Amino acid sequence: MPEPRRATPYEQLFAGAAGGFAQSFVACPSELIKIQQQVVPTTTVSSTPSTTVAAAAAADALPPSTYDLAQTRIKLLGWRVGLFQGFTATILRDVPALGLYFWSYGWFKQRFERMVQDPGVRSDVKVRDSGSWIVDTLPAFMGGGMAGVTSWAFTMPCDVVKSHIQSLSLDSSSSSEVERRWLAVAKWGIEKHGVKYFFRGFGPAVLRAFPVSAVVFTVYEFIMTNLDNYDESIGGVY
Amino acid sequence: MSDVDDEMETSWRPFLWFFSKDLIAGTSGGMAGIIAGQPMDTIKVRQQTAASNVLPSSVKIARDMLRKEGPLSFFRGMVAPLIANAPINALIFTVYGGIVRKIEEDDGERGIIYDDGDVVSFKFSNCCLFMLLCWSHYCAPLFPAKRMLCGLSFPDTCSSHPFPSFLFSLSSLPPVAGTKKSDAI
Repeated sequence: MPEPRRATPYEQLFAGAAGGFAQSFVACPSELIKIQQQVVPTTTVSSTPSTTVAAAAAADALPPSTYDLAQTRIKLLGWRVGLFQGFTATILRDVPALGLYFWSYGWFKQRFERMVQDPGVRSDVKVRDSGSWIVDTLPAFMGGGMAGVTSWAFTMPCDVVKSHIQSLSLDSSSSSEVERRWLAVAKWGIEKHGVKYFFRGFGPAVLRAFPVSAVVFTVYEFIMTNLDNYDESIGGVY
Repeated sequence: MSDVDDEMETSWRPFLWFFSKDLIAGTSGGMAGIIAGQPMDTIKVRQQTAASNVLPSSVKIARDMLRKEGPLSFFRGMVAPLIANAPINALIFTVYGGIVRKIEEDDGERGIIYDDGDVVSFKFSNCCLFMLLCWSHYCAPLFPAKRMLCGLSFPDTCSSHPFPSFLFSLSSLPPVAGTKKSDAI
């Protein structure tokens, strides 16, 4: 039996991109609802979206629940616009983002592993459970954090456009079909705000990316290792 | 009968477990990440969708939210991503994990062996890279720089894009020549 080898970062890039494509079918509706609930609940400016949250704020009522918002949108707009507003923008963001995410995760993790491992340990062979958290956990934590920062830094422009499209409300007159198109929004942004439009929210996004991705990958690797160990402890695959 | 049961056991359980492990680990990781990142995410989205040309700073946004809307407003909108987290991870980690494991198992033995001993292997990873190349060519009209090149060299063919519009709704792409300027939103 050949010894198990690791996928190279480039192979992970493809696998991640495929994963990104698959995830955008679910991520789009959930991000849409999330953003509609997050945006500023005041109607001060015409071009920012007044949402149902805003309407609720004006009427001094409770903001709509996740379920209510989704249901209202489907009823009023149909499922295509109601749940998949900004779908193209989501795909454009998620395919490169996840490819880059997993590629840089592999790359950074390898670098960090080389730093903490004994020299002579082959980097292309899977090692797990050496007994030291510095060897087992730290590379995943640092690698995950750096991967998050890399992927967010490069896909920021796509994310701005996506957030913008998804924040457009169903009751504002500005969100006609033409203006929900990603190319139109990108052009509008560049004309109105200049190139810096594409880097709005860069600071918080990158700041957030490190701890989030570090936690995601650390928890993922930790649980995966334990499940694998469990398999071995009962002598084979569960 | 027990033989049939045993066979089912040995054939299906590893297969299901193979994916469930990714799903369990991925979902736990994802949920921890969403909760950890939600306050910053809210600030990010508010900055991105701000209408004014001068962006309010993260600190100002956070302070205003805390004062006007209360601390819970930082976690508004967290339910949808948390609910979607399990299916998202099911998709990512089965697609990603599945492909990576397939690549890792692939030892390049499959392929054509020629008379002189040369092997042209159909390694899964190579096929993947090839597909990625094809995809990028297929998507060429999407990217501005390539659109420009494409429009210069094939002014007639480039005005229509090859996508199935029901999937990508790229009917939104205006033709390269004579693009109508859209009004400000």
